[in-house]
Amino acid sequence: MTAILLDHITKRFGSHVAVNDLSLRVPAGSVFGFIGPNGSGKTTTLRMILHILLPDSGRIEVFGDPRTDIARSKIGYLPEERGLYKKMSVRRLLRYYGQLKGKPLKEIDVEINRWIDQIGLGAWLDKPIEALSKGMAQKVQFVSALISKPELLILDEPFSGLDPVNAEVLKDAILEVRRQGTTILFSTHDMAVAERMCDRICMIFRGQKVLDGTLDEIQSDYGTDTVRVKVDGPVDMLRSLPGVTGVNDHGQLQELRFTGNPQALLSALVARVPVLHFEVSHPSLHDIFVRIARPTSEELRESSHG
Amino acid sequence: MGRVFTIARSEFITAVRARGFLIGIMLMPILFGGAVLLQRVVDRQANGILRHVAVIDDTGELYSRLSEAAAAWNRGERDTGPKVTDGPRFTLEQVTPAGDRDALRLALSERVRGQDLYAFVEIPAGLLQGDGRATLMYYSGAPAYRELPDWLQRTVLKEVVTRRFENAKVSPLVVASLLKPISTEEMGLLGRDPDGSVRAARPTDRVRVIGIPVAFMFLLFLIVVMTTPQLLNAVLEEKMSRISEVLLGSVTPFELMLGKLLASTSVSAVMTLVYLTGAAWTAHRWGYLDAIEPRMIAWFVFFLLLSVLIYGSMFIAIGSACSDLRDAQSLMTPAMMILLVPALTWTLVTRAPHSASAVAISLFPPATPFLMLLRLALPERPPAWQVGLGVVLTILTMLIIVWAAGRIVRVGLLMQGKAVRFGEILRWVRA
Repeated sequence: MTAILLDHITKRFGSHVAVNDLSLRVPAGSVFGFIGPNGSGKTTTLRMILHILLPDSGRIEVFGDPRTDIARSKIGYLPEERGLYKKMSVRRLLRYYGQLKGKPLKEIDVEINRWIDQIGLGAWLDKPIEALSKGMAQKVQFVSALISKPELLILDEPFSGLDPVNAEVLKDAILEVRRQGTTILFSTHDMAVAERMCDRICMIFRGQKVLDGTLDEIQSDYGTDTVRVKVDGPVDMLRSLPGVTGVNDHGQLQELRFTGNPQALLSALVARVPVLHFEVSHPSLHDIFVRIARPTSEELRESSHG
Repeated sequence: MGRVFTIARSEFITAVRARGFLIGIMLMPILFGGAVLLQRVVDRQANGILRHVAVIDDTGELYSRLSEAAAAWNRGERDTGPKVTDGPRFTLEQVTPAGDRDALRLALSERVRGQDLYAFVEIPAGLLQGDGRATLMYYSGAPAYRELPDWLQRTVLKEVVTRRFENAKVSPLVVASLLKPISTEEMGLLGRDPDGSVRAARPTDRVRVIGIPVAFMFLLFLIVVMTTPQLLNAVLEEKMSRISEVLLGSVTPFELMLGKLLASTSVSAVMTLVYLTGAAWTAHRWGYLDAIEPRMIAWFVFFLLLSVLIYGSMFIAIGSACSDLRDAQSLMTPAMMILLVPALTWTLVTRAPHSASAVAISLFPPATPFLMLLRLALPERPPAWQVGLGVVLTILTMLIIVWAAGRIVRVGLLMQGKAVRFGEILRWVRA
């Protein structure tokens, strides 16, 4: 079953094309990662799925239904820029957000009790939001998106600004709602999170889809042109190896892009320095992202002149 | 509609629970009541002061008459009206005119400064000798207090006129009877009852014909001023603290706006109930309950609804188009100016309700709810066609403003960071 269907969606703001002929299918029950550099059209796409913005052309369906009100009641949404009513108590806020989704108070209270225990907010339930720490407020925000037990959860940069402990709590919560059958679509800049958590990943760049598939599918499209090495010697030397077209230095580990036979590369390397680690692999999502989104030399020239 | 009610309920609870609401709702009666009370306290205190006046009588004849008149005044006998039980008291002190006059005046001035005297007065001899240029000279440090100099002038004048008549061998008693003033009774207009009989005119009662109509208009004005600009703050706060987008994930911008308007209408309804109950109680106490007609309450509620919708939508639209308070201030000024039109023109309408300018301004839709309400409450009501035209124009304006505000909110709520221009807002409406 399909949770979200985007069929040739285009959205313009004045002369700027924010999303260009985008088609996408998000399977129900999956964790779907939405990646792309800033300004590539991610948030605009998410807003269109929620019917906050309407596309100029194309068709959007949520669980097979194109109607706006149905979409809104089935979707939990955590926008990237988010805030809470400072004077409201946590309980009143969660009830309000739940009721806006059309849920009866009884069901909302059951959900409140469940989540409040899970994320350790019990003592704060009747305190005003302004009394909470930043981390606590972020967790309340997350719970407010889940409180209506949505069939589809849309999270725009859910991990941005979270400390590792709260990020872990959030990740566990996302995985738990996924186990209950909720489809999750989230956008992120954190490629490691996308690699670890997502069943499928889509990347949009300049309003157009440039990647769509499972991590394996995406990586195999980019082949085994990547070698991770750790050597006991100067890193600069790696650039002069035959067949190496690029070096990405991670400090402890170096990622080489090369063309040719890996065995020949290993022989050449061993001849020069002691090799501590040598692994032929797919490019990481991070590497693929950078390869797509890195500005061309022409763009760099323009921006330095501009 | 369910979501609209959810928003309205939450906004209503937030509004009435806020400390400012109770303070705001109490503030008006406290301010009005306090002003009346303060006036009374000040009057009583002012009356309690003994006003000691030094009199330099160059005529040598008038002091004794003044002194008698002061005694009668202090017993509460007024030359201007019925006897009173309390009031200011005047005591006089005769100062013999001798030596250097300027030195005497200076000495008396010092006594006034030292609060030994309240004022002093010079009665020139010329007054009794027919010198047309002779002037009563009154010296005091508190020129705003009129009662004493006015009394002095009346009393001296009366005495001087009596002397003039005596000199002309005319009996003052005859003159008094010849000059006896006539009185005027102000009446309303006659009308015809539905059964055809002539309805008699009633004596004009200023509370009934002006006071209550103006009170109706200002009550409406006050409730609109106290409730609708708050919507701007509420929307702007939601936008600035990034709550708007969370809400837009659940409701349409129009539902959000309707919910807020409904909440504002409910808050106004609560205030109306409180104030009208208070007004009815006060009117009952003073015997004016019958002057608060049910038709006027119905018109009040109708115009309240229209004005809350017009100004509420206007302020919501401004709040959603702005990104910070400074932007909002500059866009709010024109809206406030329009809102102030009735407060600046109501005197024109009460003085000449059927004049072309009063009719025109009461048909200016943003002012119609206030000024047509006032005209409907005045004794001579506006013709039905004017009321009908006013109502139709205002309803049309309300629909256009609500519609335009809906368009502005839809775009404005998602705009962040940049100051918006008026032209740009118009483009959002047309888009």
